[in-house]
Amino acid sequence: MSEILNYCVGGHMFTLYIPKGMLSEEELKPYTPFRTESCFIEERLFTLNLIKDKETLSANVQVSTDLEDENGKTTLFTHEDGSMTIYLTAVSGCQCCRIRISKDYHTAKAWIGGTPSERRYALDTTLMLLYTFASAKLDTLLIHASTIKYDGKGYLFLGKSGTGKSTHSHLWLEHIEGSELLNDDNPIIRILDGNVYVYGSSWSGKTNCYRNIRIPVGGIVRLHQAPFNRISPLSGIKAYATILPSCSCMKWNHEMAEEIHSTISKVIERIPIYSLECLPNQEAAHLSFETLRSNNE
Amino acid sequence: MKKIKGFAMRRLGQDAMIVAESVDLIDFDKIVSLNSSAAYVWESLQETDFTTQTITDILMQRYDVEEKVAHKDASELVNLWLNAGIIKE
Repeated sequence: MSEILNYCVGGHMFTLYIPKGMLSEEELKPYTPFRTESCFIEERLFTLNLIKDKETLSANVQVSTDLEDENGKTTLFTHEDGSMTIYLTAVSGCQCCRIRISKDYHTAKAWIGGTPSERRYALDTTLMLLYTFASAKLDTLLIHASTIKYDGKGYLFLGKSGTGKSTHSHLWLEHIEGSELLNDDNPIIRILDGNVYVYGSSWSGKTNCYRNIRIPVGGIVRLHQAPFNRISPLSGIKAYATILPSCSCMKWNHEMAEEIHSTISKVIERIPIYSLECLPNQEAAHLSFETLRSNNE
Repeated sequence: MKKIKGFAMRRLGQDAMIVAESVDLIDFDKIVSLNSSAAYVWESLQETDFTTQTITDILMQRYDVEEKVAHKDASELVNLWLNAGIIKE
């Protein structure tokens, strides 16, 4: 017996089939605010079947690609029919996930194992990968950013890991009255009827902030650590280059890379983009706040 | 010289850029911006071997410039692209 759960994240629906008892309520908690009763098949981004048997998801392909980051290793295998198998290895060295994804990214099977934190990493990564792959052609970006909501608009802070995205958001929360955290790690950007929106998501890094809301984007800022505070507007390729590295994408997949390119091009035409060289202090928060607000009054 | 495999040119309004689009170039996180004449040269070169003279000829055919000027521009472009790591000797 499987439990069927429908979700709507960033306005895109997906369905999970989970064998009874495989995932606890606690493990699905980040997804709970996004539960929906029904899911229209024609509007469904993808379906993920969780399965108990790891061995049925063996890749049996020699050629693979390893990608490593601070969370673990992702190994990709491409099959002759265009489908893909992905293995996730946690930092501990334990293989905690195997995923098989159809060529059109609409159906997937996954096995998840390991410690509770590895299972959490496996589930989140699987869903984020599927979400990114299946939504790329729909003017959607899963973007690595900490995001503040202020006066009905969303402000995204980008930067390499450890730059201080969360710190900058927390400086706003502390010093800018009326600001709220929308998402601390992976919100979603979408273009709808020519307008750019940011959505909270079920992926928020280490912060429990899973908000099912959508607001127009007021600005995007890339942070750089510096011994001073200075903000500069960016346009054209510089604005583009500031957003691209923060967007999830299989950049070696030509079709997907073109789709992400098209979405980013639209975003930079419509949204003010800045580079902020900053210290982790109150003055930095006020500088970005005043600059962004002057564009949104 | 030759283009290094795995790069793609993308257009952004009047400008263009070269981005990595290959698993082998997964760690190449730079974006090389091109003005309109550099973009024209990049497209014209295709995948074949070329020299600074090849680029000089492309520039002279397309734009009304003297060989001396075209050659100087071509050398600059070659240096820029070699340093950026998108072409090789």
